[in-house]
This record gives sequence, C-alpha cells and structure tokens, in this order.
Amino acid sequence: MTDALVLDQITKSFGAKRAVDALSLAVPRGSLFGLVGPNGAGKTTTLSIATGLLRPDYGRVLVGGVDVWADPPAAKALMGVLPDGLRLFDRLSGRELLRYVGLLRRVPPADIETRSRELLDALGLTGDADNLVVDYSSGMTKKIGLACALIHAPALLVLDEPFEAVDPLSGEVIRGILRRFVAGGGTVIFSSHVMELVEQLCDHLAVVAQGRVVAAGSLDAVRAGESLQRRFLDLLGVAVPSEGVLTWLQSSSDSN
Amino acid sequence: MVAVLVGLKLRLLRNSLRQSAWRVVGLVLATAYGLFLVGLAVAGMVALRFTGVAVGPDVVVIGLTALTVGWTLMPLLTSGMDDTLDPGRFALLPLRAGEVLPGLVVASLVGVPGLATVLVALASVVFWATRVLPALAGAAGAVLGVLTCVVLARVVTTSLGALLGGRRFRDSAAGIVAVLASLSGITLGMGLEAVRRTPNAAELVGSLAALAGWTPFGWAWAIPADAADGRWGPAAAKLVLAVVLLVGLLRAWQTLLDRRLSSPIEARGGGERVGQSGWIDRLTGSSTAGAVAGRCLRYWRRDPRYVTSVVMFLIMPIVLVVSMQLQRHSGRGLGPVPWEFLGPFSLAMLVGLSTCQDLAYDGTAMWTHLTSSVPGRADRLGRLIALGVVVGPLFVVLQVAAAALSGRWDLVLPSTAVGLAAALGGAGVASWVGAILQSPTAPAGANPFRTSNGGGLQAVIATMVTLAASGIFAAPVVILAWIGLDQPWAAVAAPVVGLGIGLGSVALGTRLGGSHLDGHWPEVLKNVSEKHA
Repeated sequence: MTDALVLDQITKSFGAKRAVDALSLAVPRGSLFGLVGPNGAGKTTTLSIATGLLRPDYGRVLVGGVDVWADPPAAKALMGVLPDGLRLFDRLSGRELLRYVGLLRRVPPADIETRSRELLDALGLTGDADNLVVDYSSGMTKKIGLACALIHAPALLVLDEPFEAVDPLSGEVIRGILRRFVAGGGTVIFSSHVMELVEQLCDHLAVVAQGRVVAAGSLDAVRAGESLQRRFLDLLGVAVPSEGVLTWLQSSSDSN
Repeated sequence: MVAVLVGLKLRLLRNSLRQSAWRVVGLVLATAYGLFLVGLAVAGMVALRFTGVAVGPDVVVIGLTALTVGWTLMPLLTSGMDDTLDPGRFALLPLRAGEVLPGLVVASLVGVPGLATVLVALASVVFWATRVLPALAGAAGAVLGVLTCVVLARVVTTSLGALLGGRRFRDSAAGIVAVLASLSGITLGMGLEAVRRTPNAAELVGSLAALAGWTPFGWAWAIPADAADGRWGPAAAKLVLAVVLLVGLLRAWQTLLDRRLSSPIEARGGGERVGQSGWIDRLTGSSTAGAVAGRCLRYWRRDPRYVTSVVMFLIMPIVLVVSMQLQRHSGRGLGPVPWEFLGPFSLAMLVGLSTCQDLAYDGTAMWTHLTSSVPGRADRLGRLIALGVVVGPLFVVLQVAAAALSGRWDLVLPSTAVGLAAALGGAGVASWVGAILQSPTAPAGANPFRTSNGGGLQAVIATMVTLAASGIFAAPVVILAWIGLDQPWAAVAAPVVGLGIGLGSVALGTRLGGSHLDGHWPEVLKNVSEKHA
C-alpha cells in the first residue's frame, strides 16, 4: 500500500529563520491524520509546501506517488486544499465561488450543480448561498472553503486549521464529513492545536516542533498510554511556570 | 509618548526596508524626487527674496496654499495615506486620544512628504526675514501652516474612511473620488484659459494671492505677507483664524481618534444578495479561460477597484476632449483630425493599465489558481476576455460619438485601426509585464484611502512599460492612417496592420506571461501577500 502523502526531507528558510528543517512524514492511505504542534512549529509552512503554494528550498513531496514540484498539475488534481489565512475570491457569492473552483478543477458543469447544492446543504450554507463571501462570518468562510476543497472529489484533503472559528454545531458537521470522506476511501491531513479534537477524531498523527517531527505514528503509539495532552507536553519538554514567578500578577486580583 | 511613537515609526520603516529591496529603491526615488522639489522651492524663494520682485510675496503665498491643498487632496487622489501608525492598533492600550495625538502629529512629519514640507516652511521663514516683525510672523505662519497640513490631511482621510461606514458606501467612495478628480481637471483647464485671457498677469497673481490668503488653506501662510506690508489688521485676523482652525482640526481629530481607539474594527457590510447572473456563465462557457473571464466580469461590477477603473475609462476621454476644446488657441483638432477622436484613442491607451494590476488585486485569493493548477495562459486570456467585454462597447460608443459630434464618419475606420493597435497592443504587453511584476495592494473593501505601507514601485514600472508599449504599437498605425487620408493603399493597410499588431501582441503577451506564471505561481503568490512582502 502506497502512502497518500509523503514529505521527504523538506526544508524551508525565511531569511535566517529555518521554518521547516528536513521534515519527513508519511500519511498512510485511508487515514485521518492530525498535524499538531505549538505556534510557530512550521505546520502552515509544511502544508503550504505539500500543496504547492510555497516552493521548498530542498526536499520532495509525493501525493499518491506523484511529485508535487515536478508535475504540479497531476499532483494537484488529487488534492483538495483549505489554507489558513489566505483570502478567497470573496466578491463572489458562495454558490458562484463553488462553481468557479469547480470549473477551474474541470468538473463537468452538471456535476458542479448537484455537488454544490449538496455541499451547501450539508454545511448549512444554503440560506446564504447567494450572499457575497466577503459578508460571511469567519466560521462560514471556513465552511465555504471546505466545500471548495471537496467539489472535485479529491483523494487527499489537506486542511490547515479547519476547526478554527467554527461553532460547535458546524464543527460536528465537519467532523462527520471528514469521517465519511475517510470511510469512502479518502485520506485527510489537517493541522490543529486542540489536542482533545485530534485525540477524538484522528487515527494517526505527527507532533512537530521547530520545523521537525518530534513523534509520528498511530494515535495509540504516539500517546503511549497517556492522554495526548500530557504526552504532548512531555514531548515538547514544556514546564508550567514554577512558584515564585509572575507573583505580581496576583496583586491585581487582590486589590480588586 | 511623542518619542515612543516617533521611535516606533522609524523602527517600522527600518524593518520594512530590510524586508524588501524594492522598498529601498522606492524610498531612494521618493527622497530624490522630494529633494528635487524642495530644492526648486527653496531656490525659487531665495531668488525672489534677493531680486525683490514685486510679485514675490504673492507667489510664495499661492505656492504654500497650494501645498496645503495638496496635503488634503493627495491621499484622496492617489492610493492613499501612509498608515504605518494606524490608531486602531493602539485600541487595546489604556490610552486616551489626547495622549497619542501629539506623537501622531510629529510622527506624520517623519517621512519624505513631511520632511519636505518642513524644509519648505523653513525656507519661507528665511524669505520673510527682511525685518524683525515679518520674520516673527513668518515663523508663526510656518509652524501653524505645517501643523495644519498634517492635521487637515489626517482629519479628511480618517473622517471619510470611518464615517462612510458600511461596505456598500465605501465601495462607491473610490468611484466618487475618481469623478471629482477628473472634474477638477476640467476646472483647472478653464482656470488656465482665464489666466491666458487676462492682459495684466501681475494684477491677476496679486488678486489670486489675496484670495488664497483668505481661504482656510492660506490663512497661516498669508500672515507674514500682510505683516511685511504693514497691514496689521488682516495679519492679526488671519493669525486668529489660523489658530482657531488648527485647534478645531485637532479637536475633530481627537474625537475621531477616540472613536477609532474604542471601536477599531471596520464595519461589515450588510448581507445583500446577488442575482444568479447566469448570462455571464452562458457568455463565457465552462473552459478554464472562460471561467476566469466570468469571475473577472463579476469583479468588474462588484469590486470597487475595478468599478473605479470603469469610471476612469468613461471620464478620462471626456475630460481630455472637453479640456482640449476649451482651449481656444489649440484649434479644432490635431491637423485634419478633430479633438473628438482623442476620446476613443485615450481609452485605447488606458486599456492595458488595469491588466497590470489584476494579479495584485486578486491578492492571496489566487491560491485557488495555484491549487487547481490553472494554466498561466488561460489565466491571462480569461482576464483579457473580460476586459474586452467591458471596454469593447465603450470603445464603440466613444467612436460613434466622436464621428457624430464632428460629422467625420470617414475617420471611424482609421481611428478604429489606431485604437485596436494601442488597446490590444497594450493589453498584450500588460499580460506579460503584469505576470512578472506585482506588489501587495490593499484588499477591496478596506478603507480606499489607505495604502498598504510602502511598496507599489513595481506597479508604477508595469504601468509605464504598458503605456509606452501602447504608444509604440500605435505609432506605425497612426502614420499609416495619416497617409491613408490621401492614399487609398494606406487607408486599406492601416486597419490590417493595426489588427495584426494588436492580435500579435495579445498572442505573444499571453503566451510569455502565461509561461512565466506556470513557472512562478508560488513566487507571484508571495509577491502579492502582505506578510512576506
């Protein structure tokens, strides 16, 4: 069985800062893969390189065995992508945006019609389908972005912080969609810093810190009998501030 | 607080220069240009002082008043105001507007326009310092004048930006400003014509200076002029007026600042629904280039930056034709061609310019094109198709109007030939240049008077290359069309050559631009995203 996504020694520096440092990772086909790590660990940089948005200084990315940076069109056709912090063509309505992405992905117009109706319905966006995306809330923007990533029925979903700013109800809907996607033979990799979410949803994960993989594998292998939160703190060697530091913070609560 | 804010501004400036070599080049060019203008102004004032020309004081007052008007208008006309120290960013700090205000005023002077204004104001003090009292009046006028410049500009931009709340309103603001700007062009033309007709120029300058001195823009600057002539009453009156104006402006700015400090988030628009506009989809089809064209067509209608372009396409030709006709001495036209035909020609010259900016306007939204590997050529072609759908009918209307107004239907064919060469030629080159040079642009719907700090030099270069190319491609067709007025062979050749040049440029430009994009999509995305610029 080939892996759905393989990152091989990818490296990227911004000026003097090495954001991703010879990072290697294999995402098994059919897995729901979580990428966790502290802020600034290089999660977004890693996913940007994996999806062809950012050229690595060094390293290879294989999607379904196709090299993303050697044959971009073939590799990108297999991926559905939801980046974080990038704008959408937000002067289109939700429906128009879906149609636009579908056409760029060469989905037959008739299929776009039915798929976008079902996606909008599943994500609870039907009522706002004809409003401009620029007027959407940040949670709705995430959801329409997810719909765009799904419209061409990809084999691999790459999602950067898909649950950020999403309300609990929509979060449950998205979790359901991701589980169904994996049950249907697809593969998902997404980044998050909410351990409980990853623990509950994922079967595989990787912990990254300072641009390197600290631990990777199946959920049970990585957490090694502990809670993921506990294991995460152990892996990163994070110490909770000891007594005697930040004592002046208490004065404000005393005086009030 | 003043030192903290000025230090912050300097540090932000230094960091932005470190991030991009383009910024350094831009700053060097701006400094050179500023020094050149300041040098001219200072040399002029020194010369006027020591030659003792009678109109000297009048010219100085008019010039400084114009400078103040410039401070007010420039941020509205150009891409906006340097917003490095956006007060909204201080919203979470326990600061009152009164505390940050002095620092913001001084920090506004840090920068090329601010320093240039200070230098010119200092030179004006030297100009007035012939005796003690005018020198003192000059110093007071200079301080008041410089402060008025800075605060007036801030108040105008903040109030227009903030008070025009919702998105709908902000979207139309850019278009309104474009119209006002073009109309002021006509007004200027009429004014110049009036000056030309006046027999006594010195007298006119005198009355103009008197008028300028009594406008709010000129109160401060006119104080020393009155003092030098011993007109103490008007001098005192203007001193009072200038002080009241400055205090009032500071109050207004403080109120605006307070509001900005307490509600820094820009208003969201209401949920207006859009029609299905299926005609666009039917028109552009479902090919990749067609999809891009359909998306662009919707943007031409909904994105204020594109709407402004359309307004410019409409207004510029009319302004040019009207102002040429206003000037009596310029005759009925250029040789045998009436001025009316300048309309379609100027539109054709402008067509390429919007294409230069297309990718920058997309901003980071272009990741959609990257992840679906849109062929560069389809991207380039789609945008040109949309441009053609927008501009084509306009061109026909202007062409027919020119012919109908001048009664010269025989000129329609040669004029169209020239227009095709300039428009298609420029659009082709823009497809190529626009693929290579981009700079980050403020997103649609942000305060239109705000510029994303620094940068923009790439856009200027792309614009100039495109304009030059339009002219160069049009030149041979102009010559052929001219000969064609007598020689039938040239009259036939002109449209053929014009169409050939235009289509050739589009074919080559979209191919070169497209293949550049295919190889450099990630770099283009990086160029337009603010973060890494």
